[in-house]
This record gives sequence, structure tokens and C-alpha cells, in this order.
Amino acid sequence: MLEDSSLIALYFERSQQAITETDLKYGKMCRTISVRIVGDRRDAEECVSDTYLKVWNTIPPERPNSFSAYISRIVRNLSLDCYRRKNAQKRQGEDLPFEELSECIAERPDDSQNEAVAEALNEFLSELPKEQRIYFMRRYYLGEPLSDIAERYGISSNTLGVTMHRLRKKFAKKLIESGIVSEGRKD
Amino acid sequence: MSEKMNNKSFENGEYLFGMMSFAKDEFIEEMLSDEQAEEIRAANLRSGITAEQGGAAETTEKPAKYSPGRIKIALTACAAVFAVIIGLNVVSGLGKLNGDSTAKDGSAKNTVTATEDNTDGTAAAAEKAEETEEAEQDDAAPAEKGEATYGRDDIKTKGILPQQDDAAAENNGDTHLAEQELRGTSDTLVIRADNGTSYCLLDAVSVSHKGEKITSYEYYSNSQDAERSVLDIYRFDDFEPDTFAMIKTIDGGYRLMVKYDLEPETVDDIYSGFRFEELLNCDSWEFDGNITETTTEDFRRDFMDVLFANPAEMTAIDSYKNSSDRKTIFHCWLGKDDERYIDVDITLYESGRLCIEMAGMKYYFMADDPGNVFD
Repeated sequence: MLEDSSLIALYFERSQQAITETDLKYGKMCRTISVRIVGDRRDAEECVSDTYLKVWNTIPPERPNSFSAYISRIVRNLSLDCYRRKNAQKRQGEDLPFEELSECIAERPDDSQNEAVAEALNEFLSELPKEQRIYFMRRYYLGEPLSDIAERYGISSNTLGVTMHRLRKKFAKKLIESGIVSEGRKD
Repeated sequence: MSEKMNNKSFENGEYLFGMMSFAKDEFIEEMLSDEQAEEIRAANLRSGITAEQGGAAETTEKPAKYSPGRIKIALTACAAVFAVIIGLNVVSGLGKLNGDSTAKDGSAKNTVTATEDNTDGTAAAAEKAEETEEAEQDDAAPAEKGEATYGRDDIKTKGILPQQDDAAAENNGDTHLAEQELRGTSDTLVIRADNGTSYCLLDAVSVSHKGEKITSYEYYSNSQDAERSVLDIYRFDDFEPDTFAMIKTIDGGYRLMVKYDLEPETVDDIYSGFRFEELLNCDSWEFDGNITETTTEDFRRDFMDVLFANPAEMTAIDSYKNSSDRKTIFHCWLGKDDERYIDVDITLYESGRLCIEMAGMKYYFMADDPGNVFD
């Protein structure tokens, strides 16, 4: 498989081989991310196709430092959009960790605070030990089930569950400290 | 998704999930990295292997350096294990862990040795040497110096020869001999849960290397609590700098409670540094998060919740009792970031030898009657 730099070069050359190589290298990841979010293979396939199109349309002029982060973010966002369209008012998404994350905030911040939330998020992530950061990211960025994360990293689901609980509390604390949200939901 | 989750909460969670897209590239790359996954998995499995197959296997990752805090932890842990052994003898003295507080004489002896890890540990070794020197001075005659004894649980523990494992013996040319006199209390509390499971809480704080009683504590009677008609349990006073307590289950499992003062922001930070491995099958060690560093009452309450509000843990502990040549009690790490992490491996051998490995040091303890360790 091509290095990311070569892959990006293909986009700059406007070679359609870029799409083929992208699918070869990142297709599985994109589909996995999308299926987890939209919950449907056909919808996910559509999201992945849209992702490739968006990548094609944005590179150039963009030249992402990290192609994997770039494409994963795109497929994630497109899949979330799809999820919202399909599931508006239905409150589906049982497999997504929305409830877990809802522990972190009592009120949704205004969109004007998104930047501050993003800053707090990255600060929070940067303060975590590497393995905890990765667990957190896989759970809440990829939406990966705890059991899968546990298996991948060789720990028990229970241990991971406890770790995630504590991480959420830390995240909530960070959001509160940042002054953008009030205390989280009390169960 | 649970019914209790209302639309608002759902939206809040969805919002934060969406915001995760703002994570920095480096975090996404790190998460996607197979190399990182392998590294973490290997570390976790190494811990798991240690837990299940014996922790005396050489640890490949040694602490790179020794902060005063680490040394302090190591020494305190040593004191803790001393006390554990003392406590084990008392447990033995108590027979079937029936909670009888009948006084026992202090004749039980433990062999306590410490061997220095050959790969590193110079700071810890130096500290240890100092302690040995002090201990030797103290060896003179504690009674003559007017040191107090501590009643029924006054136990003399004397270290003699290093109990090296073979590999260490071969490679460690300067094995450090530790000879120390320990004297202290070994107050032991037997806890019996409603389901019949018994726990023995060993106060591992009230002894130091030199034998002083460095603190005192209270214990609380909880007998009026109908739902937990059990027990008395220690309250952990504001011990400084460290608080250790070992809990031994009647089934041979152990749990370690550690509180230490490496500048944690909250007690929760401390507990977040715990990882109880599957050897106990009790990795649901969970605190409610309401603990603060000064609210020992909360701590006590949550501690009890852990012990008695989770029957699954108890059941799992039952299953731990198995036979193998050696048993690692657990592996845990302490700390809240990489710099402060410290690994602790505790291995209990069928022979009765107990090994605690931390900060590049291995400490071996030998109970006089190995059976006591397990029974």
C-alpha cells in the first residue's frame, strides 16, 4: 500500500488511482467507522463513497498532515450527518455511546462554544496516559464497543469499563473547569 | 439505551460524540496505530501473564529513574508487606478467621529478606542500605532502649538471608543483605459478609521499618447497618505520607488499598491508578467518585460498597483458589501519569514465599508456616 504522502500526491496529480489506493488502504477503516455510526451497511457504503468524493474535492488545495486523521474525520462527520437525517426524532443509536458521554454535561453548550469545547477536549486528551487516551478515542471517536477495545488491547471489559467511567469523570471535570459547561448529569 | 435517558441527555451525548471530531490529528493517528496497539496490548498481556502465571518473571520495563516519591512508595510498600506477613501470622493465630480477637502471643516469626534487582535500582538500593544500617543499629536491643511493645500482636520479624530467585542469584553480584528488626502492631480485623465470605483487613500502616508505631487509627463499627450487618472496618486516618492496607480474603485472594501522596489532586486520582487484574477476577473495583482526600468517612463508605455491594466480586474470588507452582496476587500500578507510574507485582508462592517487586527491587518474605499464607 502506498505511503500517505504518495497517496496525497496522486490526488494532486488528479489521478483516479488515488481513490483506488485510498479504498485499498483506508476502505475497511472507513466502512467500520461508518457502519458503527449509521448502523446500516448500505448507508455506510454511501457515506464512504461520499467520503472519497469529498477527499477528492478537497485535495488539492488541502494537503493534510495526517491523511488517516483527515479521512477518518470526514467519514465520521458524514456518517453522523447521515445518522441524524435517518434517525431524527427516533432516538436510535443504541450502539453509540451517547448516554455515556451525556454524563459529562448537563447542558449542551452553545455552538459558539464549540471551539472552547474542542480546546478542552484536546487538553484533556493530552493529559491522559497514552493507553487511556487511545481507549477514550476508540470508544468516543470510533464508537467502538468496549468488548472490542478490550480484546484489542488485552484487558478485560470490566477493567476497561471502570477506566472509561473515570475518564468520563475527568473529561466532565475538564469541561467544568474550562467554564463552558455546568456540572454533569446526576444519576 | 436505557429508558432513563431523556432526549436532552441523548442530545448532549450526541453533541459530545460529534465534538470528538475535533480531536487533534496526532490523537487520531495514535488511536489508529497498530504499533501502538501492539505495544499496549503487549504491556497489558504481560501484566495478565504475570497475574495468572506468576509475577516473578523478569519485568522488562524497569522504572527509568527513581523519584523520592517512588522510593518512598517502595519503602512504604515494604513496610506494608511486612505488616501483611505479620498480619498473616495473626490470621493464622486467629485460626479460621472467625473474628475472635483473643490475644495471641507474639512468638510468630517471619523471615524477611530483600534482594536488589540487578538491573537498576541504585537509588532504592542506597536507600535500602541506609535502612539496613539503621536497622542494624536498632537491632541492638529494642527493649533496652525502652521501645514500646504492642500487646497481643507484637511480632518480631527478622530478616536474614536473601531469598533470591535463581536468575537474580546468578546475575546479581552485589546482592544486598537486609537485616532488619521489625516490631509493630498487626491489628487484624476479620470481616464477614452476609453471604459468608470473610475478609481480613490487615492494617499495614502501623509499622515502619524501624518498628515505631507511626500512627494510630480508629475503626468503625457498622453493626447497626442492617443491610450490611457485618462489620467493623478501619477508618483510614489522614496518614502521611502513605497509607497502605492489605486485605486478605479467606479464599486466599488479596486486595491492596493504597493511598499515597505523590501530589494527587484528588483521591480519585489515586484510585484511578489502580488496576486489579483478573487474577482476582475482581476488576470491577469501583469507587463512586465521591471520595475526597479529607473525607475519610466517604472513603470508608465507598470502601464498604466495594466489598459488599458487589457480590460478583466475591464469587469470583472464590474461583481464584487454584493450584499452581506460584501465584501472583496481583499486579497494579500507581499514579496518574507516566512519570509517576509504578508497577507492583506481588507473587505468593505455594512455598509460602511472598515476593513484592516494585521500583526495581524485589522483596521476599517467608512465612514460617507456608500453610498459613493460604489457609
